[in-house]
Amino acid sequence: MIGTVYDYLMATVIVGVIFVAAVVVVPNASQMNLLYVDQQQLRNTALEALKAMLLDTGYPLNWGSQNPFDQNSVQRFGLAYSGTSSFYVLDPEKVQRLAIDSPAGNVDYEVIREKLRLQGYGFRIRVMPLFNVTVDDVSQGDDLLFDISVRLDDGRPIPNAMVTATLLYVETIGNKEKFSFSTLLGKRTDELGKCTIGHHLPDLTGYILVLKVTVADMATITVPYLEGFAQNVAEASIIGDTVTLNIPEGTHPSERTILNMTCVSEDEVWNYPGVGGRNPEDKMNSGEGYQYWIQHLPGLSHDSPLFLIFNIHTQEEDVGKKHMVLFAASPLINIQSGLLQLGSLSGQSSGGAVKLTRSVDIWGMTYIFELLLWKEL
Amino acid sequence: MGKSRNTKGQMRVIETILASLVIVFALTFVNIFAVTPYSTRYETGDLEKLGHNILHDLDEKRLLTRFVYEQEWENLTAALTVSLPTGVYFNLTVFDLEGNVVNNMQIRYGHPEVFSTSNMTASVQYIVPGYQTNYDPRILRLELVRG
Repeated sequence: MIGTVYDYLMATVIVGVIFVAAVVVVPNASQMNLLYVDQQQLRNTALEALKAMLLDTGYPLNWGSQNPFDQNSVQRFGLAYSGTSSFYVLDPEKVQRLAIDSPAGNVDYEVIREKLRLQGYGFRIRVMPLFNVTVDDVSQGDDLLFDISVRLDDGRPIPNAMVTATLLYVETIGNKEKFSFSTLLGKRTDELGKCTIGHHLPDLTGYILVLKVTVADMATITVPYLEGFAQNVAEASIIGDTVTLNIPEGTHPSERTILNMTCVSEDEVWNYPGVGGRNPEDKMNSGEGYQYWIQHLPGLSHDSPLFLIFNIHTQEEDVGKKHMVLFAASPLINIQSGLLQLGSLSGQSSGGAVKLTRSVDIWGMTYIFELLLWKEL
Repeated sequence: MGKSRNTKGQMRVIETILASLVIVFALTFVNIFAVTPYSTRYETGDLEKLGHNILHDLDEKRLLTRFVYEQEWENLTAALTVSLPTGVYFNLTVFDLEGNVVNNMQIRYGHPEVFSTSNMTASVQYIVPGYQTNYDPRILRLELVRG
């Protein structure tokens, strides 16, 4: 009798243990696997989205070049350049449509999400140069001096990088202002990824520094801004051969006159002929028909301009006299940060995000294209 | 009349236990063999795509062939370092058609231990057929790991 009771007690304990294991351990293990599967699904979705963005031209094939641009005319979203069979070559005009502040029109985040069928997912796209170039202005008087630091994305210094600089400047000779530019001697970065570039220029009233940094024949070109007002003087968009400038909202409404334009490509810097002057059509103001300065420059896109530097005659707020300011615009990226970004990290679920990066070619220069994808709450 | 133990109930209990154990083992077995995103197969798949993308990009710019045939190993190391994202380490070996190693210096970023200890190493083979007009293929083997 006691043996039977003992058997039943043992059986009850064993069944209890198995029950607990079945209720707690197995679902936990399954839950982990479900999370993994969920993440894998996220990774697959990100891979498919990245493939669609970078390898597909979208439809119409040249949707980025349409002027005027209507984002609703984009039937399929893709950034690949239609004029080549090579992979990962992006169309700069399509890439520019990602910039939300482009006055020539852009594709909204929601439209891209809908075209890529990413409803329920959040994403962030970033287009970055291969390496970061930072400039510290340590100029004293007429002696311009710039401490340049070249680093990778994670902060590691890049030694032996070739840094060449072109200085575009406005100098005052007598009572007249004169725009000019000169290329400075190249320097190589030291073990800490640093070098110093200097130049002596008397009577300088404004300047922009264009830096070309080359590592193993792979170049990054940046325009570090050293003046605050100049970057509020205008907004620009460069689509194909058409350049559009306008006066940004909330800035000083004084008249702007575009005097000339300088083109910066990967290989050289030159004054673009026949652009600007003191004619009525070169003026921008708040008057009807003058809000935009639009120029069609046949062959501009063929020159692959990375930056256009405008010499603008205008009046700064609280400064009575008009003077020349230099304004830089890029057809590619938000040049102030050397980065184009679409989407933000808000609404990210706790399940984590998947980050994929690829090396892409835009107008002959290599950039890092990064896609971050997550499931929304 | 001898006393007899009623063992029928016990057998049922044992059967139940065995059945439960079979189910638990089956579920555990399935979980062990489920392919998770952190498994080698998935992780290396993305790294392989990335590695191929970088080599293809350098090749398109005509830099890869120059680096390989002019033996500019330092430039090749620098180009791969700036092109790959943060936290990805690489080790590149260049072979000729006979399988001899051509690069006389390490084309690597990352400590050798990273490669020997990692259980997720992606390997990409890329062939460059020749330089300028010379047909003299080289086989590039790029190993990638996440740090």
